[in-house]
Amino acid sequence: MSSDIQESVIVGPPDRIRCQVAIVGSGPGGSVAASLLAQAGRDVLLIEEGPYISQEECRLYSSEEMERKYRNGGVSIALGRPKVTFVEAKCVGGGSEVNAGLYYRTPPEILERWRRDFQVAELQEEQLAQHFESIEKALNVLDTSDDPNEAGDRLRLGAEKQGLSSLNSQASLRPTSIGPNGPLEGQRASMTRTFLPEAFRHGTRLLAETRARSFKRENGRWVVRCHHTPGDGPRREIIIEADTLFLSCGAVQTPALLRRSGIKRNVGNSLGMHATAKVTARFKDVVNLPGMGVPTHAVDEFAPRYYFTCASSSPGYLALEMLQYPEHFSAMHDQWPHMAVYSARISGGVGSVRALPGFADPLVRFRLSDDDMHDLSEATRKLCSLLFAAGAEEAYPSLLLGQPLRSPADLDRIPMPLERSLTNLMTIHIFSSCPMGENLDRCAVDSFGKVHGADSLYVSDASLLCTAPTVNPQGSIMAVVRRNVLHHLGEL
Amino acid sequence: MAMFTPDIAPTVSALCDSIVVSRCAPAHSELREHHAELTRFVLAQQDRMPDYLRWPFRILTILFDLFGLVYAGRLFRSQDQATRWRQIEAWRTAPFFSPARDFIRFYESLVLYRWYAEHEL
Repeated sequence: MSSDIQESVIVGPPDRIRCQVAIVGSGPGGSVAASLLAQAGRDVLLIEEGPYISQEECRLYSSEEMERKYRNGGVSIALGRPKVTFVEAKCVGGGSEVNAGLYYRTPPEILERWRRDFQVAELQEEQLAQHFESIEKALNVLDTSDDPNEAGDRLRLGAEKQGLSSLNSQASLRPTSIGPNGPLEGQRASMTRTFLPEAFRHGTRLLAETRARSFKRENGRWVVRCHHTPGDGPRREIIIEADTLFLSCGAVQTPALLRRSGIKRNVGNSLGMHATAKVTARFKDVVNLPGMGVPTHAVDEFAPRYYFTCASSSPGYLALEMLQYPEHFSAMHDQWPHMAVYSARISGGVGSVRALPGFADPLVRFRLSDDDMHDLSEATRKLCSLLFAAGAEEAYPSLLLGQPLRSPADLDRIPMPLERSLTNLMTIHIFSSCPMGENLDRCAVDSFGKVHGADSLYVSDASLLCTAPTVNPQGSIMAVVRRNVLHHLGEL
Repeated sequence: MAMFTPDIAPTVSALCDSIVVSRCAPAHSELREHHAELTRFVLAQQDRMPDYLRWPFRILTILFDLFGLVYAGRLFRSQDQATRWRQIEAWRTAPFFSPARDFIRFYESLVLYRWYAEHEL
């Protein structure tokens, strides 16, 4: 922990803390908000449920990371038919500490839809451009087209052979080198390396290991009831008093906190996610190397309905995918360097978040329509077809098919539409549970993140995004939050 | 009054052992060396589940152990390796009870992820 951070962390907090601005949650949304507000001279208190764990302390994609940095140890489930497992970070820096650092701007057609359907004001592509540019500079976002990764190259090759549009995503890295054995090598520019140090330098205080339970308005201030549980120590109740409150706890925890606090209008009714089916492909050549990370190539031909990307192919994650094929599981022992995992993710479906009386964890439900199941089936078939075109000898979709697909002729074995009972879906992208805009029938917050009908109460995280961005949402979240905070400060 | 909390650790330990032996073909010394840590990980992950799922899952784990009495005349934890694996397969392919399938999938996911995340292939 650097000296800036050490000085900013509140150890042994008093029972009651006053501040001008309290921000609940320190992920990309909360970190951008803290940095801007502190630079503008506000007295900022950042409240984070998880601990501070530096990137050096915990290896990326390790089981230790799963235990220490993820909410519910990475075992969260959206109930429904079909179920979707999802992950949320619970540590200082939030999702930026555990993701691959891939970066995209919000596609213009998505912004247009948000303006049209949700009546979001001042959200033209050119208006958002300055915010993307600022975020990209701070994160040191790089073009990854020189990335020589073999697994990513297979996605590119398959797309090329089938005449499909594809791209290299950008990555937010502080590069040390562009390595010959994998994607860009460097330190991921997570929040603990970028926006949080900046926030701390400008006086932000950090109250980690503290869970906001509920809040209410008293005498013109927000009073937040928290539980502070340091390490294995005893739990204590702490009261935070703030003039202004920003909620940045993510697309599940923010609506849950709002609902626990009695604010329910359009809150937690429209949860979105990129429901993802994986496909593991086995190639003749070596495509997978230790420490390969997540290759950056993606296929956007079918966006916004669905999108293909690479996924983590480390042995631990390969084992999870091969679990569907017990008769072939042992193949990965000697074949894993020839195997890589890819994702087909769809944009459809809608879910809800509800606080359950007597329980700390909110109930998350998600529903895919018949059309969504059709998209999922089509996406999985097309991804397998692309991988065969790229030279795959076998494809193992994360579906209960029993046997792998061995040629394009086998694609018909994937039912169209997909049966819900055959799926094994997951996601790492969740959003849209408190959409922004002036459409009062649909939106929980206004065009700049202020909760409709509440004073000095803002949402600043993935909950704001009106619908699925189709691309990795982190860039969208950070740019929209930057725009909203500057609007709040009167600097736009 | 203290709440009655049955110890599921022996059942989870037996599940971990069976899944690793059947799926990962480890050397005997390797399994002996890592078994306790693997079981700790799986139990800790179960404790981290969303709180409204945690108790139902514990109960399911107890039922799985007791099912061994019906299936093979002994608790799952007390069965030999081959019988244990047959019971796991019976739950994995249970046609009309999806929680049984989800139960096996949950434990297999954790065990195999941990085993392969921490071991060189």
